[in-house]
Amino acid sequence: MLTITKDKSRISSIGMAIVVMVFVDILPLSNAVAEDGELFDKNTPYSKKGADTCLKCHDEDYKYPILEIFFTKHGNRNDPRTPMAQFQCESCHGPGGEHEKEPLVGKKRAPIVAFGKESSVSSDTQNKICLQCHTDDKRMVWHGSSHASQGMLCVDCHYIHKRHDPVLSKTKQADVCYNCHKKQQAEFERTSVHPVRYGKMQCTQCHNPHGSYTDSLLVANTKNATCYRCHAEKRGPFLWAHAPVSEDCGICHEFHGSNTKPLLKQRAPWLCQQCHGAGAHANRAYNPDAADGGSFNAPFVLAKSCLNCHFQVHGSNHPSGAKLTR
Amino acid sequence: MWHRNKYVVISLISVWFYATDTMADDRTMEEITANWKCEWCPYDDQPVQGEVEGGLGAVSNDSYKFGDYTGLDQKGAYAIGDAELYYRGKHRVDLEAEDLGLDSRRIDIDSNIAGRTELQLEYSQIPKLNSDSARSPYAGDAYQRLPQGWVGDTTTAGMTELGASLNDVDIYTKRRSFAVSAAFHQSARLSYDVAFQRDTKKGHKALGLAFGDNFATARSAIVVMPVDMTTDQAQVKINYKRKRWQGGLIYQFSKFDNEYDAYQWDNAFSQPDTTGQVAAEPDNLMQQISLLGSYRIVQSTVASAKVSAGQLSQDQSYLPYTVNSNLTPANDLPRTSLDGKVNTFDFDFSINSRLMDNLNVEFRYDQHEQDNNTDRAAYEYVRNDTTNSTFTAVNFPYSFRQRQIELRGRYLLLQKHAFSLGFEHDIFDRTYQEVDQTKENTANAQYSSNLLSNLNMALVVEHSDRSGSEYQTLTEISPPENPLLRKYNMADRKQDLASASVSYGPIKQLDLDFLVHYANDDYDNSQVGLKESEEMHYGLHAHLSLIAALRINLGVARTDIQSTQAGMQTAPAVWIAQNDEQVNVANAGFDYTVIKNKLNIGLDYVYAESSGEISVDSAVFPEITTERHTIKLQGDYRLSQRSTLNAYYTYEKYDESDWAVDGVAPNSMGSVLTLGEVSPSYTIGFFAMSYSYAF
Repeated sequence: MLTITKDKSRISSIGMAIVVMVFVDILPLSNAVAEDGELFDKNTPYSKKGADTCLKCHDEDYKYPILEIFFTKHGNRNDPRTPMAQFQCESCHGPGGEHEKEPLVGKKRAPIVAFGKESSVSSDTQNKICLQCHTDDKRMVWHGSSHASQGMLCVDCHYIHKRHDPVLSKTKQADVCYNCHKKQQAEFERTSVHPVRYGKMQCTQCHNPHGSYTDSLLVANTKNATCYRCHAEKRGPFLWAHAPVSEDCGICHEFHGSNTKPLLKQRAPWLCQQCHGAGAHANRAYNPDAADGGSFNAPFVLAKSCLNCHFQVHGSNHPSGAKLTR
Repeated sequence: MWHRNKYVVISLISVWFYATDTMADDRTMEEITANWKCEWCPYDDQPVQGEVEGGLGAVSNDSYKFGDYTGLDQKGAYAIGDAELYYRGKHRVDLEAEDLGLDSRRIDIDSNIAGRTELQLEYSQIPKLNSDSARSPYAGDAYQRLPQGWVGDTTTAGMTELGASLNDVDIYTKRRSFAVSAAFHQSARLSYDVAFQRDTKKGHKALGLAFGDNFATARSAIVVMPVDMTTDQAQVKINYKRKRWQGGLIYQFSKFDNEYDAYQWDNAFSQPDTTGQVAAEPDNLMQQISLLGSYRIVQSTVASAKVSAGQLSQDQSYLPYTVNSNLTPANDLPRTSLDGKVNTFDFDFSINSRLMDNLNVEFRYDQHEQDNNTDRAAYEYVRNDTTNSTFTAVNFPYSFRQRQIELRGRYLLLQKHAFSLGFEHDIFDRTYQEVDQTKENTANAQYSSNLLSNLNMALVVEHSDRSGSEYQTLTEISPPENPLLRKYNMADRKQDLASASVSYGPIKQLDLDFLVHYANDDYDNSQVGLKESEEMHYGLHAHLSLIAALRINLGVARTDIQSTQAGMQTAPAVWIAQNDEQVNVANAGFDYTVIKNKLNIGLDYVYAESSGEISVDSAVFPEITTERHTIKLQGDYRLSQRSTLNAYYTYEKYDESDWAVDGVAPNSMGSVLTLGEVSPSYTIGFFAMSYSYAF
């Protein structure tokens, strides 16, 4: 007959056992992201022959073509960092020792880690498998990024088994982004644009889809720092700075496209008049009569409008350039 | 005692069994994969592969607009050249070349040496063509001169030699970019990256260059000046990662060099002519060092941070106040160069935690500073190389600091409904501007659902309210700004955003996407300046694939943009300008495999049109329009397993009308000598055939 004390002892020791078991279970899991294989069921053995096992069924006639992965960076067995140089297919799909077994009649084949929205594997786990290796400064803030918080999968954008992943193609990347970003697609069809629709510029030249600290997932710390990567001539500092230029290029410019050249939010003089109303000409109500070349007001609306004289809108370094005309 | 301790021992033994049982396979990766030969893995027996494509194409007409970014601006023949070359062996080398026969060519080489070092080389050209209809009497390089016998006059009407002196001049730039980068992976944990990129931009640009000491007497000429700029960028990066954390150290360097310090031109409005000089963009330098890292505190909580410190500097020697020796500034320049220095500081921190399986919270703090340490000085400037000014101007070294705090929570209900709620507080400090500080509060709510396997929807609403410290008209600006004007980047503002999107697949072969997006900025407290802007966007897109060989896509989108602004010419009367713009885009296309592994054809059609109307009070300016039809047809026919015949056809019809340009001849305005450009309008066909060979 057990005494109450013994009961307590049993309870406490069972409790201790559970605590230790939980600890034992959690500890490796908490490190799993960086440890090969630990994301997967440890009780499932690996296949006997690796990729050769998989390719017995998943050959060129398989409904989801996979062979091209051997052409990609992932398939480079000479690079010790790649999945194919490690557990081959099972680096990402998990141990396939059970999956390779022929199922009994009436039974389903043991599952293996599959990717995509239809998969029974959680999106977190799917992404963790990729993030086991893809940890660097460009993916450091994936957690909490707008794409991650919307439950997006790596494979929503990336085709791992394709010979050329479209999202990594300079000419096809935008089409992948347009699958969701339809509004931006329409903006790039305007007449004054960054050359994305021509395949001469990629979304990822300005945006980091894997997460960044800026609102629009920009590659640099700020909007302006992103723009200066290609437009360094506007960086200054200038003797006569134009304050909004230093603050945010987006005060005057659209980033994707506009019908007012060059990517302006509004045409001059009205864009300028939204912030300048002093003196005897910035304050005027220019009406259509001004569009007559003979009008006294014509120079303020025709040709380059305000920039007929004040052309240094991004700043001037001329000692006489206080009015941005020099 | 034993009875008491046996449970502990049993527990520990059971834990040991449990622990050892969870480590089912203790073998190392090398042991497990020792017999994994990968004998069936493809490509091993063919280390070199590739495809080269060559052919000829022809453009039916000249148009800078059609050639903008493409290089197909001139009527005539073009060579078609593309290549892909791949080596797979101990090393990996990928070479891709595109549009080799065009000014928009690109060559990329990506290699991996022995699995430890990655090398990349990139070369690309981008032509940016701005006009092919400009005509100018000027000629020269950075000093644009008028022709012999030029007759100057105070108005363009008196320039009797203008018509005979006009020459065609193209306005364009060509950007060339060369980049090389290397990444060395010392171990699974430690890697180094080095990258260098040189961008050059050469060509011509049009500048509005003025003489005259006030707006009434000012005379301006649009003059085409040469462009020759180089930007060198370099980056050195070290990445280190452990199980729970990773970190990096990045040094960035960017140096801008302008071949031209200044531009000069003759004054077409004087006889004999005088000379003016303007500054070109000065050489400048940016350096920045960043430290960044992330740490997985527990399995479900990750903290990350990045701190950057940098400097923008510029110290190019000043030009003189004027190049006209007859003008004598009262004082010398206060210094010989700006010695401008702006220290930048950026700090970002975020912590993201999954408190429960279905509840995620995030806290974020961002700070961005530009601390301008440039000295101030008084410049007794010469107005437009015309007369000595009676005014002295002092430069404003603008500084900025932005601090943002954001808290966001996301809750997932039944794995089908995601609710997100976020709050953001933004403080923006400025110096030497009308508002010292603005504060903005933003609330944001999102709902997304995948209620059915074929139905997804998302709703987003956001409201923000910005207010600032006292709006103070700057006393150092002359003439003083209207005290009622509110610059919209620092004016009080209420902003509302809303968007809804639905993706629906009524049948397996059809996907429909609908999007509506609304944005409104309300500047109610601005009596003068921008008062309101609004954008409404609708889009409907369909993807249809009735048979596996045929994929069809269709789409329409419409955007309405409106803004209202107020001005004050004579107090207290206020004038109102209204801008209404509409943009419509439609696209249709298909890809069809006519004969599997033999014949593919594809079509893409895009229609994009815009119309804009500006009214000032009740007077309406003529409509500004753009309209473009682009049809691209493509077909490839496989002649054999290795060779393919390709055909491409692009038809584009474009028309643009802009009253600010059209009909404005070089001498239309008395006080501005323009380039007489006209808006582009063309119908062009581009046909090309090529042969490609794969090996």
